[in-house]
Amino acid sequence: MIGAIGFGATFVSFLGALLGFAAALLALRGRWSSGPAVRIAMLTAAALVAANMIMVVALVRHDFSISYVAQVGSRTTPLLYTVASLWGALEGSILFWAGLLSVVLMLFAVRTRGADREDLPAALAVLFAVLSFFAFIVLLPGNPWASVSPVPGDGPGPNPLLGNHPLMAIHPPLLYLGFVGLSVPFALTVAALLRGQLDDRWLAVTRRWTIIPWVSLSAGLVLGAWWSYAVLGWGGYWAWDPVENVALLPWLTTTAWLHSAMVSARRGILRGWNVALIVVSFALTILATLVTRSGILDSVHAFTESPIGPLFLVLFATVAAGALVLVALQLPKSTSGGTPLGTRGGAFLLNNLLFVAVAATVLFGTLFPLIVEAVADARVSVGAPYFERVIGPLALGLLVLAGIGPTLPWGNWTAESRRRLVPGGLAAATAAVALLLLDGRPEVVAAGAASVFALVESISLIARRVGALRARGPGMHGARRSVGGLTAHAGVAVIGLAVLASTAGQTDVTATLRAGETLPLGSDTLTFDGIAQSAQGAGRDAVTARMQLREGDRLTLVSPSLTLFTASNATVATPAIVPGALADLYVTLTEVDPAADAATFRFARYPFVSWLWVGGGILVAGGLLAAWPAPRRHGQPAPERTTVALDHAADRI
Amino acid sequence: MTIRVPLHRSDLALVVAIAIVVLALLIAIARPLIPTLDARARALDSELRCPVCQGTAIADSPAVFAAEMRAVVRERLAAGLTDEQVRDFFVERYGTWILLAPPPQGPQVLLWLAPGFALAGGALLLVHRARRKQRPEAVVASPAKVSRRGTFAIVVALTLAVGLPVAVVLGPRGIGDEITGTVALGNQLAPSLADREASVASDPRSVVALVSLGDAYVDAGRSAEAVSVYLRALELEPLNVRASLALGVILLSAGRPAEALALFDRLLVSSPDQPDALLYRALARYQLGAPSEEVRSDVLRFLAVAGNDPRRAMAERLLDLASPAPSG
Amino acid sequence: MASGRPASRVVGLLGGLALIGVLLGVFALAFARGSSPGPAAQLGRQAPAFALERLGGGRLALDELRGKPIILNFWASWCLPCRDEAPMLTGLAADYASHGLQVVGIVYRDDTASAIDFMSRYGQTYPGLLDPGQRTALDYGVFGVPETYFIDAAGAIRARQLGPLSASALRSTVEKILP
Repeated sequence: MIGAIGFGATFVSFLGALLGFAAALLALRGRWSSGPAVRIAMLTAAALVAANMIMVVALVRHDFSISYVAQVGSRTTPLLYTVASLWGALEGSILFWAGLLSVVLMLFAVRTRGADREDLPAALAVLFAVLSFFAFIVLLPGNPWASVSPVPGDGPGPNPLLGNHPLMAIHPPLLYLGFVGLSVPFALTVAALLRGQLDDRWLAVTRRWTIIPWVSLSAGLVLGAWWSYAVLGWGGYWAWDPVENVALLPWLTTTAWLHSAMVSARRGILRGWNVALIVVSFALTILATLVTRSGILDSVHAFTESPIGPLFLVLFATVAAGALVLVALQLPKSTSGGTPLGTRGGAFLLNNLLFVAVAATVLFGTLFPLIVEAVADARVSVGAPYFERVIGPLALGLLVLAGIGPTLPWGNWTAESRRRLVPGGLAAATAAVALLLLDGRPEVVAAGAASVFALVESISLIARRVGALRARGPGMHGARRSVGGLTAHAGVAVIGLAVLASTAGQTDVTATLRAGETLPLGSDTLTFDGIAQSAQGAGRDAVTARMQLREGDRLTLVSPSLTLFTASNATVATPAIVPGALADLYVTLTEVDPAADAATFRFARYPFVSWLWVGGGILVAGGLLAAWPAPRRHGQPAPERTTVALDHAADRI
Repeated sequence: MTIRVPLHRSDLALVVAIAIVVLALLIAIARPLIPTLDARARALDSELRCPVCQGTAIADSPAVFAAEMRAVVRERLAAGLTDEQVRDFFVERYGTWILLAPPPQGPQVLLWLAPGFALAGGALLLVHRARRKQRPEAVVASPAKVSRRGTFAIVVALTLAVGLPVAVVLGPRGIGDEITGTVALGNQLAPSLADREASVASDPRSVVALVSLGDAYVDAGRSAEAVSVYLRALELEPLNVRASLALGVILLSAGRPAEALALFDRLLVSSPDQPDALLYRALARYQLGAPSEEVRSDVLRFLAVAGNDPRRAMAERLLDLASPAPSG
Repeated sequence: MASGRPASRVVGLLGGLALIGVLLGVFALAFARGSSPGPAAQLGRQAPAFALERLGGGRLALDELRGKPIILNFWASWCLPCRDEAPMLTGLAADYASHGLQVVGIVYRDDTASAIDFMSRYGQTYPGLLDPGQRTALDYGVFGVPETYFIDAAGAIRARQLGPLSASALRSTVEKILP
C-alpha cells in the first residue's frame, strides 16, 4: 500500500519534470511566462519530497513488502542508520538524489523568479531535463517500490561498514548536495550560452550558485575522510580509492573555477575557459555517480549488474557532447574589456593550471586500469603510492601559490606587496630548518615549509584586511569576501600541516597482551582488562576489548572491537580513538585468542590528525563567509562593477 | 620583458628567508638517510596491494592474509633481498596488478607522463587564451538568430538526454549481441588461444578441446578457422550440441540461414528440447521468411523449456515480429 | 572551447568529442565485459612446489604426484560455495581415477577441527592439506576461496578458476589437463 503511494508520488514527479520541461521550453520561445514552469517546479519538489518521506516512513516501520526496505532494512538496526539507509544503497540513493535536485530546482526557480531573469526559462529547461532523467531512473530501472512477496520477516540491514558511525548520516548527503547543486551553475551557463551573452551578470549569478555546492562538497569530502579514519581501522583518511577520487574531481574543477571567475570579473578574459570549467564540473558529478553507483572500478569480485550504470554513461555523454556542441556554436567570438593580467592575474592562471593538471591526473590515474584492461587485456592497479608521488609536487605548488597569490597586486609587483611576503617567508625558513633537524626527509622539509608559509601568509593578510575594515567602517562587501577566501586558504594550510604531521610523524607498535597486562606507551600506560562478547547472532560475532589508558592522573576507557561476519569470514575492526590536540591514540584490535584470554592490538599515534577536521571546518567557514549574501543597502545589491572598484581599493590598502 | 625592481630592506629579508628554505632542502636532498629495515618494509607494505581486500595496500589492511604478506616482506628483507627483488617476488605470483604504483614500463609510461602532459597542454592553452589580443566591444551575434539556433540546440541535446535512456531501457536488446554472448558461454576460464591450440595438437581427437579452440577463434574474431575446427569436431561427434550451435550461429550471423537451419534441424531431431537450438532455428526460419506458425511454434517451445533464460525478451520480440497481425 | 577563429573552434570541438568518445568506449567496454577474472600471472608456469601436512595425519608433497594431472582446490569450512564444490570434486576424482587424475584440497585460513568436520560432512575423500600462514596460497597467487588450479601431468598450470566452479565448467576444464 505504502509502496503504491510512493510509486504514485514518483510517477507524478516524473510527469511534473516532463511538463516543467515543456513549460520552460514554451517560456523560452516567448509563448508563456515562466510562471507555470515555476509552479510546476514547486509541485514536482513536493511530490519528490513526499516520495522520500514515504520511503523513510517505510524504512522506519520496517515495511518489508517494499523491495528497497527488504534489501537494506533490518529490525535490529538503530533508528539513525535506518533513516540513513535511505541513501545507503543504489535505488534509495537515486531517489534521494532526485529529491535533492527537485528542491534545489524549486529554490532556484523561486529565488530567481522575482529578479525576472531572461535566463530563467532556459536554465529551468535544463534542470527539468536532468530531473526527468533521475525521476525516470527511480520510476523504472531503479524502482525502489517494487513489492516483495512473500513478505520477509526481517531484512539483512545496511552494509555493515555503512551502519556503524554517525558521520555516515551526514557525509553522503553533503556530497550529494554538492553534486546536485552544481547542476544550477551548469544550467545557468547553458542558458547564457543560448543567449550568447556571457556577461558580468552571468558571472555574478553563477558564482553565487556555485559557492554553496562548493562548501557542501568540501564539507562532504572532509567528513568522508573523517569517517574513513574513525571506521576503517587502519588510521588513514584518504586511500586514493576510485570512489574517493571521483568525488574529489568536481571539487578540484569547481575550486579552479572560483579562482578563474575572479580573473574574468576583473579582467573580462577567460570566459570560454570558465564555461569549460563549469561544464566539466557538472559532467564530472555524473561521472562520479556512475563510478560510485555501478561499482565498475571496484575490486576483482564486486560488480553490480544493473542498467543504471550504462544509463548514467548515456547521460554523461549527452551532457558533455551537448555542452561541447553548444559552446562551439554559441560562445561569443570575443569578449570585451580585456586588460593585461598583471602579476595577480598570472598567479590565478598558474593556480588554474595546477588545479586542472591535478584533476586531469587524478581522472587519468583512476581510469587507467580500465583503459589498460580495454586495450591490452592486462590488469594493473593505480593506488595511493602513485597518486602521492605525482600529486604531491603539484599540491605543494598550490600551497605556495595560496600564500603568494593574495599578496600580489593586479598591476606590477611592488615593493609594498613584496613586504607582505616577509612574515610567511621567515616562518617558512624557520619551519624548514626545524624539520631538517627533526626529520631530514626532503619531501617533509618542502611540505612543512610550504604549509607554514601559506598559513602565516593567510593569517597576516586576514589581520591586515580586518584592520582596514575597522578603520574604514562597515559595509565593504568585497573585503569580506576576500577575508572568506583567505580563511579558506588558511584552512587548506592547516589541512596540509595535519596531513604532513600525521603521516611523517606516525608511530605504531603491534603487541599481544594477556588480560591484566599493562603496556607502557611513552609516559602513559595502557592496561588490558579483558575481552567481552558484545554481540552475537545475525551472521556476525562481535568482541570488544576493554582497556584503560592512564595519562598522568587521567583515566580513559578504551574499547576497540572486532566484528566477524561469518558468511564471508571477513573481520571488520572498529578502532578506539583517544583524540588529542597534539596526537591521537588509535587502538585497533587485530586478533583475539579467547582460549588464552589474550588479544593482539595495533597501537598507533597520529600527531596532529585532529587538526585535519579543524582545517576542514576553517575551509568551510571561509567558503560560507564568502558566500553570505551582501547586506542590501537601499534595497539594492551593489552592482558588480562597484564591487570590483571597491576590491581594487581594498587591494591598495 | 625586463622589470626594474628597486630593492628594499624588506626584500633582503625575503631573499634571506628563501635562501634558508632552499638551503635546507638542498641539505636534505644531499644527505640521504639510509632507511632502516623497518622503514623499507613499511614503504613496501604501502606499495603492495592486498589480494583479498577492496583495493587497499597490505599496510592498511586488517586482513590476516595481508599480515602474512607483511611478514613475508620482512623475512625477505632480512634475508638480504633488495626492495626490487621483494617486489618481483610478489609480481611473479600476482602480476603487475599487485603493485599500487605500477613501474613505468609498457603502457604505464603514459601513466607517469600524464601530469607532465596535463601541465604542458594546460600551459599552452592558457597562455594562448590569455595572450589573445582583445578586440573592441562587438560581442554577440544578433540575439534573434541566436535564440532560434540555441533553442534548436537545446531541444536536440535534451531530447537525446531523455530519449536515449528510455531507448536503452525499453528498447529491444540487440539480437546480434545475444548471439555472441551465447558463443562465449561457459568460457570463464579463458586460457589463451595458444594453450588451446597446444591441447588440440596434443590430442587432435578430443572433441572438447576442439570445441574450446573453436570458441577461442570466435572470440578472436577468426571465424574461418573457427568453422573448420567446429566441422572437425562434428566429424568426430556429429551431434555435438555445442559445436552444432556455435557453427549454426556463425552461419546465421554470416547471413546463411538456410545452412544454419539444416544444422539446427538435425540437432533438434536428436535433442528436441534444446532451448538454444529452438531459439536459433526460429531466428533462422524468420530470416528465411518461413511461415509465421513455424517461427512461433519454435519460440513458444523455447519459452516453455527455457525457464529463466535472459533471452526471453528477445524471444518475445521475435514472437511479436512473427505475428501475422497486419497492424504490426 | 576556443573562442577565436572558427578553425580553432572546430579543432576544439573535434578534440573534445574524441575525448568523450574514448571515455565512453572505455566505460562501455567495461560494462560489456562485466566483472573480469583477476590477473593470471601463473598460467602456463610450473606449479609452485609444496610439501604440507595432511588433515588426519601424514604429509603430501606436490613432487609425489608428478606425472599425474592435478586439480588443486583452495577451500575453507566457512566458505559457502565450497560446500557445493567438495562433493563435485569428489565425484570428479572418482570418475577420472582411470586417467590418473588427483584432486588435492588446500585449507585456507581455517582451524583444523572445523576443516576435518567439513571434510566428513561434505564427503570430501581427496586429501586436505593444512597451509600454515597461507604461504602456499601466496605462492599460487590466491585471491580468496574457492579458487581452483588445473595442473597437467607435466606440472604446468593450465587453467585457474576464481570463485565457484559449475559442474559443466569443471568437466570441460578438466579435459585440458587429462593426458
